[in-house]
Amino acid sequence: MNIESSVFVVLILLVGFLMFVVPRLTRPDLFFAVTVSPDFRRTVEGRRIKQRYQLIVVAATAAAVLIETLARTELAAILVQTGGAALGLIMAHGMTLPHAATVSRTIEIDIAAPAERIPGGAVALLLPPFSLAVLAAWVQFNWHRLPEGFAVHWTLQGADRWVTTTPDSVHRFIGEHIFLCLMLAAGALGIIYWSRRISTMGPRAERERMFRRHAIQLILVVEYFMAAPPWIALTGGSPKLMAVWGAALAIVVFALSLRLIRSGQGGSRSAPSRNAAVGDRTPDASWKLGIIYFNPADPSILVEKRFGIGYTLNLGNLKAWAAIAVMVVIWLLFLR
Amino acid sequence: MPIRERPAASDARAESEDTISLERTTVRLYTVYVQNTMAQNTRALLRIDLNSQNPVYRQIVDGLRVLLVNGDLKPGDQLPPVRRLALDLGVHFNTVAEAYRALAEAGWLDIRKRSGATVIERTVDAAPDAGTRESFQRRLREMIAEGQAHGLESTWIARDLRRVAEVLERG
Repeated sequence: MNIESSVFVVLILLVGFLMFVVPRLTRPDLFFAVTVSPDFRRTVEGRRIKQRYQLIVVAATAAAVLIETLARTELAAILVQTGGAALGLIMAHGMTLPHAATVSRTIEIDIAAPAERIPGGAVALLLPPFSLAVLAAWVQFNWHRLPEGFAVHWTLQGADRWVTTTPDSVHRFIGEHIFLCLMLAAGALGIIYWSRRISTMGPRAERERMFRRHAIQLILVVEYFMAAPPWIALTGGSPKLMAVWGAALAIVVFALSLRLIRSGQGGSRSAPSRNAAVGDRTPDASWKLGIIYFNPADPSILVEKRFGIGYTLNLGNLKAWAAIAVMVVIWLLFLR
Repeated sequence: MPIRERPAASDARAESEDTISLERTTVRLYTVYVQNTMAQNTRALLRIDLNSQNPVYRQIVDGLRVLLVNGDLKPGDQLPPVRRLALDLGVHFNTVAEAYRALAEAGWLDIRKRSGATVIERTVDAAPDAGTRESFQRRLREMIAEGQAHGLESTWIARDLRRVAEVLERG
């Protein structure tokens, strides 16, 4: 087994571990994407549902490792693992639905509370794509300084795809990274300005604010990292620099993701538990198979995932589809 | 803008159920007034029941008016942007915008595109006309009758009215 295959197996095991523990990371009153009493997960039935899901995850992960080890087909391994876990989730979701709790739809909002903002503001958010625009302007006047060819893709063993320096290849490469940066910036903006705050008063509200802040910090850090490769490649940076970039990206993303995972979805693991089922103030019926959120009556574009950490799109909102369409069109434009 | 769910304690729930039965009638002003003036927590809380037959637009107008009358929202205070409040309530933007417009027309808010909705000093007639007093008395009687029709005891209503009166007299 070569080093890339070994790393891939480690990744499969890591993903398998995360899928195994995900039921513990959701809000206490959300169990396999169904709003339940916070105590339900500790009942015999709750444990039985969770064990069945975890058994499927373990089996799917083991199958994926075998496929990668014996056949070395990464795509098949990914499909088997994610497909198996999705099947486990759908089954667990169906088994939990009969135990759904009745949720109060009365809410109180503190009108006078301060608004949340992106850490560092618009400057911090737009600096990476702006720096790439500056790079694009710089190369216009400095073609003679560019290398004859540059790397556009890297693996653990170094650059594996190179292109000849032409106006098209250079601008396409920079454009791809501007697009990535803008997508990440849009995600950060969406969390602040286009998602609902579920938080209750007191410590839970504070933890939820902290969770959003940490999620945005993670996005901002990845955005800054995404701006670096064109600078390194086009200004003649050494291959070692890209290796350092890759290692630093992996370490920082791992650390910041771990911080999010430790706090649980919406900061729920670090906040005191509540007596009544509140859920995430989205209707159970709008969660299709427990994974897809479709609610045309909800103005939110992003909502907290019910299964896992982070956010997902409200596919019942036309603005979410418009965002997807823009991303797909731009991605197709840059498709090689 | 933290959000608080309804208290889970059984006595609080019983009181809220009474409140809901009232809200299903046309006596929302009194209900909102009691909820907000009697609340131990005096923050500027807007309470909305998405299951109520009373339209959300109406609940927002009534809830904000109570906060404005009580002085929980003072001239110069900024209200949350329409989009923010709509997202947090999970209702359409137009619902919140319509509520803000109604309050602006009543002289409570100044709505501008860039700065959002700001509370302004409102001038009221020193001596309300006879029609206003008559209308208020009629609605109060209707409200009491509706409460009784929904099973509220006369003694409970009287006690609650006395509490409201005490708050009013204290100013």
